[in-house]
Amino acid sequence: MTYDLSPNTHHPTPMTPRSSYVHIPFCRSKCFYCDFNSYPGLEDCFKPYVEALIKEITSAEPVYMPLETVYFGGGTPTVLPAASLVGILRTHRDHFGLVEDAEITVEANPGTVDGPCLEFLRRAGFNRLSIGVQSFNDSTLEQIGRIHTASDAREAVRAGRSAGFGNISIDLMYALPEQSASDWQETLRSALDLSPEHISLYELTIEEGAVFGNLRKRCQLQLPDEEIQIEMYLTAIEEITRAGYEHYEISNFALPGYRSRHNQTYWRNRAYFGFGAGASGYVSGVRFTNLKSPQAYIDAVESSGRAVESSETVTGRQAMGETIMLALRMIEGLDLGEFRERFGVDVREAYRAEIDSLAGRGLIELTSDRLRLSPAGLLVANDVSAEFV
Amino acid sequence: MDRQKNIRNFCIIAHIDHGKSTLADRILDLTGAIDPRKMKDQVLDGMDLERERGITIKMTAVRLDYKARDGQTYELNLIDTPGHVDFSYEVSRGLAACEGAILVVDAMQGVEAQTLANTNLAMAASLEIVPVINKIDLEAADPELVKQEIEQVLAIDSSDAIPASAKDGIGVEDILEAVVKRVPAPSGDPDAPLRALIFDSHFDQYLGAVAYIRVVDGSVRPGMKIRMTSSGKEFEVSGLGVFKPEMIPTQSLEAGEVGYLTAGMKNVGDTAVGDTVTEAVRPAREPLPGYRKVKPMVFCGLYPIESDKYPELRDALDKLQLNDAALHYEPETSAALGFGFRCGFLGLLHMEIVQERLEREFGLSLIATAPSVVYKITRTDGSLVEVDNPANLPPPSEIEKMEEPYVNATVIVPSEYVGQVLDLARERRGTVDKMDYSGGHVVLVTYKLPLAEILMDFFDQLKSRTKGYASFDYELSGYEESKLTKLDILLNGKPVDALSFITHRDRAYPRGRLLVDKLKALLPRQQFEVRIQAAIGAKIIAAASISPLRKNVTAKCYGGDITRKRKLLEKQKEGKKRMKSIGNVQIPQEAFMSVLNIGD
Repeated sequence: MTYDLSPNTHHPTPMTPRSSYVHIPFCRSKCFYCDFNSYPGLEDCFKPYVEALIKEITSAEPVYMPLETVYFGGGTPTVLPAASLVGILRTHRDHFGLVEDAEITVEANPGTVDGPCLEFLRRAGFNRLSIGVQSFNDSTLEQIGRIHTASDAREAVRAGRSAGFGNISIDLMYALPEQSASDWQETLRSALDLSPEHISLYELTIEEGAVFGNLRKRCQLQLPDEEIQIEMYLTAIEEITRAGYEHYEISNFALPGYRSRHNQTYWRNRAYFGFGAGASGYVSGVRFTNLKSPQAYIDAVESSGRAVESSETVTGRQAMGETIMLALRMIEGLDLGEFRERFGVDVREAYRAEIDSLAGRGLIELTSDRLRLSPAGLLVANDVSAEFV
Repeated sequence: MDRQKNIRNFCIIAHIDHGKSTLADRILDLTGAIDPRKMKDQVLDGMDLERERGITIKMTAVRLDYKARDGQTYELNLIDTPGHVDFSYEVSRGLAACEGAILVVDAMQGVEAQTLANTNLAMAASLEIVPVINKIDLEAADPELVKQEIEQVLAIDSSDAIPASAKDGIGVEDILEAVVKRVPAPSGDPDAPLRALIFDSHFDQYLGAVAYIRVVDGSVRPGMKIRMTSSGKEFEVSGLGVFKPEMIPTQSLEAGEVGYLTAGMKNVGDTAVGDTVTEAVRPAREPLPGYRKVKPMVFCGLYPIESDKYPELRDALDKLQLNDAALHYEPETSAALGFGFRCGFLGLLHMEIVQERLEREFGLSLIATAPSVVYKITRTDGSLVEVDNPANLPPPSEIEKMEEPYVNATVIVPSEYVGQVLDLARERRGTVDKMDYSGGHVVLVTYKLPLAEILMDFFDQLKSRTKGYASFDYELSGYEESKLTKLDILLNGKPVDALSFITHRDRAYPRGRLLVDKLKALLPRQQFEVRIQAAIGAKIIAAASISPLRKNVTAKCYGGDITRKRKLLEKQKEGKKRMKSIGNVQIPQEAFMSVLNIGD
């Protein structure tokens, strides 16, 4: 482990990135709900893409503070050769340094990983596996365009365990076409049977650019009623917390000690690097997004070491709004002291009218040190957050 | 008389988009009225809004010096007139200040409804008409066909119509030559008592109201005591001048001349368009003909979305009225919307322009209620009452009869769309007077229909059903008795006065149904159920309900989603700001106008 302990070590502030997100914009095939920046059939791009990633990372200004977390997301990062992933991680270690207990996550989809590959990743330093299971119902999986079965998913978790991953997260989706409340309960039970350390559950969002977006436009999509969707969400919270998990973010649950450190960087509105095509970063108060197209990204990095497509400096009231919007996603909410320290004002004064009105409607709760959503507010988090932006 | 010999007062008339403003620009260009480097396109249209909408709202008058081919220099006064039906009275006064009119007809579009309406006005004012066929540079131009139309529809000799392309500057000089040769010089009596026609005005912060005048007889000088014939008010002339196009002071304005006059008048209400200015000590025996008091035809309620902005709305209306004598307003209270103003306008366009200016120039966010015409009600006790707000309609038991304003409408349309025009007329309670096929491939349809029907997306319907080929114009014909009834809209059992409207009895049911469905689609879901009902008196004729919003939460929010998510929330919040809370129901602005759009 190489710590960069150069003499002008900076004092860490929320604006000093301690996290890095790496985007792998490749997958085997496009799922029907997906409008992420991900492309099947670009195998020829893999090599130059990985080279570009390494160049982009090494071109970044070092921060003199080792990183706390690195997250490989996609797409399906594991469609790349494991050696490439390891090389990208090594570049992080060499360029920024990593703290000893850094959280290193890789997303993986069932059917794209096997035992040897996972062992290799684990040995190289990856210590958290996030598996895109989505459902344990084979016909549902087929209906949303997944290329694997429920048993593939169980196998992936088992392989992860035997490779030595002690921190496994699984993603589930609900409110899927033709999914019933009891289908969902079965999926939940199957998930809990595998005892993952972490569970993310996402209500299906219909994106215009996805296959489902087109189906909806043609009225060919049959989704559960809103009442059923709410029931699915509330049932899941009940079942998962009963199994000993903490509900710590709108869509996330973890056994004690296993909350995603990387994702909490976002919700605490701290800085992070973003590398890769379409990746976003937040460095020194500037939010930027890279070029989306892998080829355009490769070309830009080759010529300049960077591939920023757009950037926006977030200041003052906007930064406060983002901080609250993100903090309210966490069940424990906003830390009033941290907010005051960061912005020099008390959130209760800066947003007095908004807080009074929301509290009066029973959508938020204010304690001596925190501002958070009430159980009722959880279901209308967007309406609550909108008051603060 | 000699002085007047070289004066030509003329205007340009045309259907919208036929190139009137472009031609005016080229004329200004050619006569060197403007330094070409300073030239903005379409100089005569002074307001930004006009330029954006491509229409002329306010007139301007420009004095040009033109050295004609006969070697003499002529003083040309170009009077720009508004091209829209809402302002037809102003157009008629502008025309009355002229001796001639350039009639611009698009070489592709041919004669359209406003071409006809404006030509009729020009003929009524006995103007010499110089037909110009514009846009001959276009590939699809068909000047010969257009010439035929001019002869057949307008009954004007088109043998010496001038082919032109204002855009490319083609024919502009020929047009000016025709103005010099064919438009008669003014022939007022320079020694008679002063008679000057006010054909427009604007408000200037320092000078007060500036009257645009055409001196018909006599002359006017600074220091002269003048009298406004209609109001009898007297003023002392403080300044005179001409527009070149900027204001250039002069020592006098003589018979035949066009220019401006200031006299410390506080607002444009003192300079009523169409009024005659005369000398206080030696008044003319007869005023100039044609003056009438401008009466608003269309009314709507304007309310600030944030109720504490009421004083700002009042100040803004005060300021607009300084410059717009046709704008009427008085305070009004709505149970639903709070304090606001009942505003009267010349027509729909005038209404839209005022609203837009209030929002744009004064930064106000407004709710506008659906426009209404003025109904004349005879009560059972024989008394008469005029109602311009449906909320103020007396209860049915007290109404003996109701009358509503009717218009004579003129539609010019290619013959293949006549059926659609007739269908629309029938649906809108219209009765066809005349169908004139003498115009060749275009048909002239005239019919009578209630003005209220025009307020309900009539233009849009006409345009869409005729693929944009129909052109339309109308004039008020008078009041007629109608079987009308008031429809109320209730939200969660409470009537929303601002959504009430008056409709023909036979149409109340379908319209109530349509409106309830429209509102159901328009109102955002709230955290509780919202019931929408349409009622005539105590009788509910249509109902719908909006289920409560129970869930609005984004499933995923990670690093790449933050900016997008913040922007979405900002948009959501912005949208909410533009809604009015009635009780605890949030109503978006469009809902108040939805009363009108019954077509789709």
